[in-house]
Amino acid sequence: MIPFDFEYYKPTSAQEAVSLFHNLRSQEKNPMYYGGGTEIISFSRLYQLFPKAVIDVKGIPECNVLEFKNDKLVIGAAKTLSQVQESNLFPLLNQCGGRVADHTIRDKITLGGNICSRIPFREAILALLVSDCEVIIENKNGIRKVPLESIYTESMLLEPGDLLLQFTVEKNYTVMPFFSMKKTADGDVDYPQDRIGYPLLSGVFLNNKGHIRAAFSGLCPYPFRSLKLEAVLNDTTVSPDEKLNESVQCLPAPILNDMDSSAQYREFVFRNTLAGALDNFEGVEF
Amino acid sequence: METLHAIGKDIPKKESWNKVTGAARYNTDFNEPGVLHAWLVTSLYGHALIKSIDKTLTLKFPGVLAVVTGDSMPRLIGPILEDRPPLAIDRVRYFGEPIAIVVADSLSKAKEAAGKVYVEYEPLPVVDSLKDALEKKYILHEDLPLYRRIKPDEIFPQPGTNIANQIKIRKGDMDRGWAESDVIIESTITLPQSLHAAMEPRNARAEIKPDGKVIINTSSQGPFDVKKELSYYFNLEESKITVNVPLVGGGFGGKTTPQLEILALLASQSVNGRPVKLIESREQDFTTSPGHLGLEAYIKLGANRDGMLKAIEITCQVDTGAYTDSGTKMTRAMAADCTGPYNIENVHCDAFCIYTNHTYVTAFRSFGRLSHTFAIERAMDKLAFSLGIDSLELRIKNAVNPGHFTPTNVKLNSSNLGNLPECLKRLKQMINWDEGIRIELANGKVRAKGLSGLWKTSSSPPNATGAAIITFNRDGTVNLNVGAVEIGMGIKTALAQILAEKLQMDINKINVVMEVNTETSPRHWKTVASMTGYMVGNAVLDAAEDVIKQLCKTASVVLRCPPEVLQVGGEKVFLKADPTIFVEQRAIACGYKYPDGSSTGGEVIGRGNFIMHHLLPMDPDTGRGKLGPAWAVGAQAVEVELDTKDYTYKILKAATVLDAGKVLNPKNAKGVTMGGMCMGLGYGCREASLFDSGGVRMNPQFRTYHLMRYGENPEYLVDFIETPQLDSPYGMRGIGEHGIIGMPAALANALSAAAQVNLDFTPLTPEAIWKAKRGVSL
Repeated sequence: MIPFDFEYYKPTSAQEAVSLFHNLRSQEKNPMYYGGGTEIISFSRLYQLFPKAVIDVKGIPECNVLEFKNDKLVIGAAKTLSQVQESNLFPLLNQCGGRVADHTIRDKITLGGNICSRIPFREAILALLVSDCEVIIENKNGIRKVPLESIYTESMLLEPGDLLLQFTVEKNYTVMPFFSMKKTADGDVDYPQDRIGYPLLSGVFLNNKGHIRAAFSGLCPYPFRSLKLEAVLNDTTVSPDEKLNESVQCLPAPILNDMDSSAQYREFVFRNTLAGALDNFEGVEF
Repeated sequence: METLHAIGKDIPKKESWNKVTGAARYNTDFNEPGVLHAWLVTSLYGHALIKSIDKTLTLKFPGVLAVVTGDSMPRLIGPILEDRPPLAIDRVRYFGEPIAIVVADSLSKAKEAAGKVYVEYEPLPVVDSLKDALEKKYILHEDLPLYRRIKPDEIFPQPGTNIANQIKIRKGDMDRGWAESDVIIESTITLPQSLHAAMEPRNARAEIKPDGKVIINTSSQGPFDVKKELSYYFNLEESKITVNVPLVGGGFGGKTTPQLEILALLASQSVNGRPVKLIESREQDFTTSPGHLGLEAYIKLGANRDGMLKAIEITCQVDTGAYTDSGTKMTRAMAADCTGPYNIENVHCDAFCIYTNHTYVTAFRSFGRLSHTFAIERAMDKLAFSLGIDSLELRIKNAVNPGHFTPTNVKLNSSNLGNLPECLKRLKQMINWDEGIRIELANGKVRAKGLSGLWKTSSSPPNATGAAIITFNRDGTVNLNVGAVEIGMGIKTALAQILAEKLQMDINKINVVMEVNTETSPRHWKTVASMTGYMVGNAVLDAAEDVIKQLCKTASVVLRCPPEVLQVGGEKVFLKADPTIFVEQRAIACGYKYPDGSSTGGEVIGRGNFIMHHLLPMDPDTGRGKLGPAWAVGAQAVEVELDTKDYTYKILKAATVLDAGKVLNPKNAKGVTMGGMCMGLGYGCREASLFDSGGVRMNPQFRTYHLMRYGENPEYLVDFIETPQLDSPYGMRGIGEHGIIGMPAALANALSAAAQVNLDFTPLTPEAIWKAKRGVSL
């Protein structure tokens, strides 16, 4: 139970949502956009978040699109991970989003919410990081479309009031061969079977016409795609063992060490996973 | 007459329809206008002095009626040793310890206002491990020698240390035992504290009526214990206290000792007796209410070349957390069964109950045997390895049998023990043991098996009782009223089966009172220790005899014959020699009316009781004594598939064979056993209460404290053998807890075999196996 009162708004357009946000912000109501609500509820009930107003974005038509338009997959930010999963329009996204939390919670968590999560794992972003995703954002200056990598480093770089509307991905990325995996402290997560837990390592590998793209969550304090690491993986002059050693050297941050796993074990799992993925490439049947 | 059988049948639980449709009501489902709500303010430190508690802001908060702090009840409480303040005074000894209760007119106000109680702490050094405790990093209870000992014959605190209790078992001649041993192994295991994690968080509601009567509604396994303790702590006559317990949403031992009932009553006192509800959040249930003990155990085990066990030395160190509660009693229970289900004539066991700054502990399914069995069964596997003997054969060879004596010198017979060798033999076939315990597969995978024996008796007071009242309706149907609580294991249905069999009537015509009300239900000690079927079941049989006597007496008048020639069955009383001569049960159960209109007989009311007998406390120097009337024995196995590349694994199969004495309800017995097995596997593979170095709990939620999930369960194989316990209803044995006992041990034995490294701990995560593997190999 959330122990304090807050205002709830459900606007029907993006412009209305953005102006509500600024209006409420000027009243110092610490407004938050509300998608599935799982984090707002979990953190508010523990006194770790105190919004005095929330703006539900599920009534905004643009946020509820989930279809191909002119060879582009368009996913509204308010679509739940379950809806994305069931649509089966982007199998790699199905898999990495479909391993977040459990089925009941994925019926609530939205794609936009997962990607902006305070809990750092944000596994759904992995598929978008490797597929040249573009993000459509509404703010008080109007609508803009930007490449995901331009507004994501360790987390989404959004200004107060920026409202995520949609993610778009070229169709060709949705049909490329891929490999994905997730391990938790308790063991493997065999998609689509649930195993609750944050990732020790959640990884995606996309085979873009023979060139590997890869992104990881759980390994470092935030999800990342590293071009440097990809260069190592794709370097045909280096032996597999050297590739593993070099890969560990080009991580963007120290390996996470927490109650779920030591950094040493995460590194072990990372090396194993890379070795497995590289094996997969050798056989082409990826 | 055709014999009607209710025993041995798959009878659905009587409460099931209400549960599966959501109509069943649990304690917090009852909402009423005017009830106030309480929220606990709990410690943010593992160990600290409370410098001050500032309630000013909270008391000004709209809707707040009171803030209760430790000074409202400046005394210590505890079921064995009084060492725990109901609300912390001056000092907190564990993270989550209750400090204050905020009472308000709504739950949200109570919770929000609780966030405004300002507690000023001064952190103290934290006793974060058994090692810290034994090295006296800090003495947690300086007043240990002054604490009142409620059960002086079972609690022996050691002043100036963190040792709350020491239990000794001294049996046989150790020197001779070691001299006869050709092989001696040593083994040390470490198991963490964990949680009960019942689906229904703990809660209580209290009210003091204007006439002084105290009404408690609670989710408890021991309503009569709540009454007894409140009477004692609050100096109230027992007749002034009524405790109501509806269906309980899982207990696993965690709802046995009163805790929230006391706090709810303090809260009600602070608002002139108005009704106050206190419901723990999941986080509070996980940190404020007691959990499951941790254990470190050292075992030295010797055998001769043939594999006959000759001597055992055991040291158990129980992590009881900040207070003892039932920790001391579980320490004693472990010591009493310390050899595991194996016959060893020379035994030296020291079991210590030790304070730390962890959550305090209380009864947990198996009452300590889960942990202790892990120690014994790992040692047995190591011994088998050293001797080069098949580990199952080693267990059969040394299994306790009739004629043997337990570590506390109770002589065993077939009735009070059962048949362990038969369980092991059945298990051997069930899991195809002979194919080999370790089989290498393709892809670096290995399939392996591990097993565990188990036994357990109860630890009730020597005068624990059960009772039953049977009344009739005008149509001849029956009401059964008992003090046993339905915590999900189907006890009410089992008792109805016992009654139906005895009265030879249709079980659907027996109504069991589902709730317990201490005002109207006959007393039962507590619904714990797998003892309810035995104790209350015997009381039901006694009450049924009483009913039969009364029915036959009235029928003898009607049928004009002596009562001795009559028999009850099929809702009739009939002549044994000629069942065509009978009178209907309904015609006589509420008085018989003669054809001329006059009457005789009157209401039939059956009363039955049971009291434990021949139980004796343990001798402080040798441990001689008898804690429970009988044991139930069993054998369990786990089969795993380990990936030797990354140490992830799947649990393929889990198997259990128990000697159930007599299986009253096969499907329910399987269900309860599987539930226990699942819980044991969860503890074995992932569950642990994690504390940081400041004693702060790091995983106080289901988000971070993971249980086994539905889809992860292995194939369960459950079977029973039946060696009757002669003094128990229809020969049954209590097996409610037993499914859990050997599971972590069997899992560790299977994974040790698979990974070829000694795994002497839980949780058995892939990382933990990887770490062990990087250390020393077998």
